Amino acid sequence: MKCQFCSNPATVHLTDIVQKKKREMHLCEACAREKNLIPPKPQELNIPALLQLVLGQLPVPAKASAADLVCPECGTPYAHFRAQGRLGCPHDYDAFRSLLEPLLERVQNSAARHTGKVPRRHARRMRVARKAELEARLKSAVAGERYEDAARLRDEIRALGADHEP
Amino acid sequence: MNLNTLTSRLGEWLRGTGPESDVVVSTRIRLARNLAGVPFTTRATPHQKAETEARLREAIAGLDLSAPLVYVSVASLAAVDRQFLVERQLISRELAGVLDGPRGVAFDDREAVSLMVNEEDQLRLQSMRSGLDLDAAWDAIDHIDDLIEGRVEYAFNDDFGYLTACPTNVGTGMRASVMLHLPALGLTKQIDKAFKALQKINLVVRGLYGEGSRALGDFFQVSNQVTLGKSEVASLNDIRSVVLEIIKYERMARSTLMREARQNVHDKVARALGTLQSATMMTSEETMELLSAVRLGVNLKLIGDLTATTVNELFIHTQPAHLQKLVGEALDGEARNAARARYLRTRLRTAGAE
Repeated sequence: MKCQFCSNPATVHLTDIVQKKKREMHLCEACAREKNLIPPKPQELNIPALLQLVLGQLPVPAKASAADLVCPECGTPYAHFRAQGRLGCPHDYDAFRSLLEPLLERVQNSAARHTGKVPRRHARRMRVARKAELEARLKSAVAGERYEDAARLRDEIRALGADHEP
Repeated sequence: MNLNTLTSRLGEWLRGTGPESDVVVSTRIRLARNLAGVPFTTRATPHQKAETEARLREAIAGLDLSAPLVYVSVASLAAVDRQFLVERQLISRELAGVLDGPRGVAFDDREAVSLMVNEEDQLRLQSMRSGLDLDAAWDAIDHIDDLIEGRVEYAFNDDFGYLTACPTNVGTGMRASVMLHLPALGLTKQIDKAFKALQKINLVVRGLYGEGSRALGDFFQVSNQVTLGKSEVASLNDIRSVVLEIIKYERMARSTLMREARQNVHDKVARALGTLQSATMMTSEETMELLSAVRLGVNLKLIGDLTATTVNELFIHTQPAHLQKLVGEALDGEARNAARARYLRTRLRTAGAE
């Protein structure tokens, strides 16, 4: 069978019914494509649309504040994230925190904090900060003669020191 | 590097071996990472992107790995070469064509590791294994992640974990996928039932080439959806238990078919092979569907002199970019379909259904 529009072999066959009348079309691939009858490549996941869907269900935040929020670090407006589905920089997670938390709750199915791997240098820094805090509390416990507290704090500090990493 | 040398080799994920390889094609784990204090790729200036690429390239080059990595700059590759890397699953479609500017990929000789630079996240680490092997894939990529983290500072936050450009990846930044071949569940129309269980525990099913791709030839990818609030190991355990369950269903369906409809299955397999051996025009979709039936035939021992590895090789070699590299010239539309059919005829000349 030949294409109705040119003489190439027809490889696309369409049948539709309009007002109870059957209509058939026979085209070659090129003509079908030209007439937009062949669907384009597999659809990308439309993340902006998805986010829109998710965000649409949220109580609308005080209009001015949400839409006008801009990350001070990279200058990305919150509105840009809503349109594109991509954040501007790592600091956005802090800058947009109050807006992101309910969103994360939906896309991640929970309001949980991160559990899992922690970069080693980050863990080290956290340990140093924690130790400094405990030491300050120990000092004030000793000064206030709260010796039971002091003993407990000393144990905690010792435990922190013991698991140091290279 | 000359990508043409890869054509004659099979990447790790297509080796056709490994645990449960009658049903599981491959296991893949990717981690999304970004540098601290730098805008994410889509908001970075060309200068910042070039700097990020240079920093990560240097960090990657300095890694002391038993299998050394080669870095390929994707920006300077021809379109057919980018497509070639997508078909081998070494890079994403986004890195190949949607994103622009300085970007690249580092991978090893076995193609078991690939590190994409300036993807949607600045670093996407991937490890691949043949068959179902989540532990080996995780150990490999966890180790490389540690080594890179010793050289650059990642964007990380106590509450949100590893910070990513899209909030759907934040937390562990990990997406683990297992690619399954489920022809018997397809034939016995049980596939929907099998996947219903997945939605309940937040796993996702996708087609062969990831997000948005169709499930062609009964190939499906099962992966975790949640990345925040669940550890890597917990996610991997969830996937493993579900995949083992699906494998059980598929094997049950295969033995039911062999018991109750052996003649029909045999006929379907033989016809698929016959078509591949004699057709003169072949689209990649049809190839995929027919090779899927042939793969089932190999696993059910209905075809004697073909191995799963050969079938895998035909899968990859008949993809558009691979085919053009094998033929040695650019082909489009009908010429490509004719070349694909010719290639399949030649390769399968001697194979026969028993």
